[in-house]
Amino acid sequence: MELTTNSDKLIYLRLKEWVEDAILAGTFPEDSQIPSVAELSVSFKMNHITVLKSINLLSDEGVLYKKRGIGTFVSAGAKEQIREQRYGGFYRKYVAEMIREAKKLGISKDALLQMAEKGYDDE
Amino acid sequence: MVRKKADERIAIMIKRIWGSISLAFHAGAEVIFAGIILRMLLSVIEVFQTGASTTILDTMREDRYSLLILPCMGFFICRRHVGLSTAMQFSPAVRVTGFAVISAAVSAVFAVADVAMVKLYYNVLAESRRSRWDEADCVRTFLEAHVFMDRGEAPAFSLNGTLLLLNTAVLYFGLMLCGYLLRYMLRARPKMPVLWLVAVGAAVGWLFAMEHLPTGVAVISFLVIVILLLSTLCPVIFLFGGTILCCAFRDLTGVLIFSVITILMLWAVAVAVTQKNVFWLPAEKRKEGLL
Amino acid sequence: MSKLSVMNVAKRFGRKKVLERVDLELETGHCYALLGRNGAGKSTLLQIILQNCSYQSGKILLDGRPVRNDDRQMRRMFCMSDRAVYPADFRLKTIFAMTKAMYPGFDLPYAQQLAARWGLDTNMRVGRLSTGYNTLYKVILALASNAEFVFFDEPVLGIDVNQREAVYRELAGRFAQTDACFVISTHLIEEMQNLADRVIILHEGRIMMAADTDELLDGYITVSGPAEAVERFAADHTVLHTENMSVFRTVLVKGSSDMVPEGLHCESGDLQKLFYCLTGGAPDGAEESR
Repeated sequence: MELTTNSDKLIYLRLKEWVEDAILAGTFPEDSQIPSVAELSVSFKMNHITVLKSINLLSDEGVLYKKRGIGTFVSAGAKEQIREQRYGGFYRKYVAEMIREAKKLGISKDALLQMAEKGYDDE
Repeated sequence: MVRKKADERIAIMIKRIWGSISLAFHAGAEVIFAGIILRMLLSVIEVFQTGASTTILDTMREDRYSLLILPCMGFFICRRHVGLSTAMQFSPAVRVTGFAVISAAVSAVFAVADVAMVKLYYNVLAESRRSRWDEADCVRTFLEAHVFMDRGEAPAFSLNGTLLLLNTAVLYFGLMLCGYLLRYMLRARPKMPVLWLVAVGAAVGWLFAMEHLPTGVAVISFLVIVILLLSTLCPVIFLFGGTILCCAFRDLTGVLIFSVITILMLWAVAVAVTQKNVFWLPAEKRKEGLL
Repeated sequence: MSKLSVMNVAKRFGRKKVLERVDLELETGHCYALLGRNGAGKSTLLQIILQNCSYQSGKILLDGRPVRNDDRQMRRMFCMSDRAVYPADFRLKTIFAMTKAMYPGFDLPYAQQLAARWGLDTNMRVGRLSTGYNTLYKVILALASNAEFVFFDEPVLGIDVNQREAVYRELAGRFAQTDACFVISTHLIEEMQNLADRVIILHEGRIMMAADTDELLDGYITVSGPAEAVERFAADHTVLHTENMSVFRTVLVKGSSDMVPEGLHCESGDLQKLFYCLTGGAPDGAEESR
């Protein structure tokens, strides 16, 4: 397995993102156990210290919780929490970029809004 | 608690040394067996070649085979042994000790084989043609004639005989170690000009002494020179050397002590050499496509 | 936690100075990437640490005590390299058994499992193995050794890409299980940059950099875009490397992504790129570099 290679983030942040994505997608449901540090190290060919950094960040934020002797689990409400966190960044990361690109191509605001509506209807 | 730790450490050390000995055996097994078989073959060939016309002078050549075979064995075992010891992260002292023990064992085997073979074959075959030199039932080997015994005959199994055997074994041990050290010095980095000088000097001195001087004087003066030269390498040798000189003035007990001390001295030299210098191991020869 | 200190090591081959004033500290529980260009002295440094190479000056200490000529210290380390230490006619299983006898901590079942998994026939004589398999069995020995300090000198030399993946996984997995110090010296930086949490760059015989991987990478970004815009941005920052392609320019600068204005593309430094720039870029001087 590989994490996305082109990014402006460091590896431990990318792993954090990967776990968050998996929680959002439902791959790691709430109160289920996520793969162990060792498993993650092996799958991503990563140093376990780095893996631990990511996991610790997530458990500090409350997205994950640790059961001693057993493993790390997804907290209740983690999905909501991640959604909220990402909401803030959504504009900067996607919308601003989209508008910039649209302006570059000369797409008007109305045309862009029409495209957005069509997108929501289709998918 | 502290005592237990110390016992544990000693136990591990002994295990390591045992390991080093077994490693030396594995490294050298083929060379050792080849050497022994070669030696036996040579004796047999010699007997059948010279056969009935054997005289005492001919027997002196016998030991020369050993004098050549043993350094060669040491020489050829060295590379494999050092390689494996490096892989196992043995310190120089542990490494050399392992080789020294195997060396001593092999030398003892060779010495017994030599004396037995020579005595057996030549006593049996040349019974009727013994020169007036030799009045007892045994034949004097080259070693017996030159090393420490310029007096008295020695019957086949006696204290004297055993001491002579020991002497022979010591000389063989020394030679095997010399072969090993020669190979080591050829590959050592940094190169050791001083030691080469010492080694050449010692070899020349030994030959000169053996050929020209009366045994007792030869040995003593040779020893003095060697001790002084080697003391620069390893100060412990000075201590050993002094003891040897004292023993050299005595008779048979001196020979026994001499044998033991020589082995220890040579071992100390080998450890000192390997501790001060590193054997250069090259990279693997790359082979493609065989597996 | 144990510490291996390399103090003031200098090594000359004849008149050529290979290593000069090398000071290094290695701690257990960390995985170090030892990087350097060809001839930088990486292999020499490793051999010196393991006492297999003579050196003109310096000391190697393990927990404050010298390693030289001390068997107890020596056996806390294990190394795999391309040096021919095993006799070519020895069978692999003999070497496994021997290592087990000499290293009390050697995990023989693990070694045998790994050999089976990687397609190594333990009955083979090591002299007959190809370069790839030659490296593999040595990697197995190092992984199974359970030594406190394990050194890997080019652990993927001659190994195909499929097998390399397996090796990296095993390195990550084994490192996660033990509390050892792994030191990996390699040229394939990109492939294993996530394995090491600390980086050591050896350049022209000296330690150019010894730092936490994350801290190191955090401090550098590559910024690219139209030449003028990049130029304006770069004027206020320390530029390490510049690349031009017609009207586009890419620079590697010291800084963070929040410094970058809109319109310019920004990527975090990756270890290979950083190494490439820090150690002089293209050898034929095809690109500008400062």
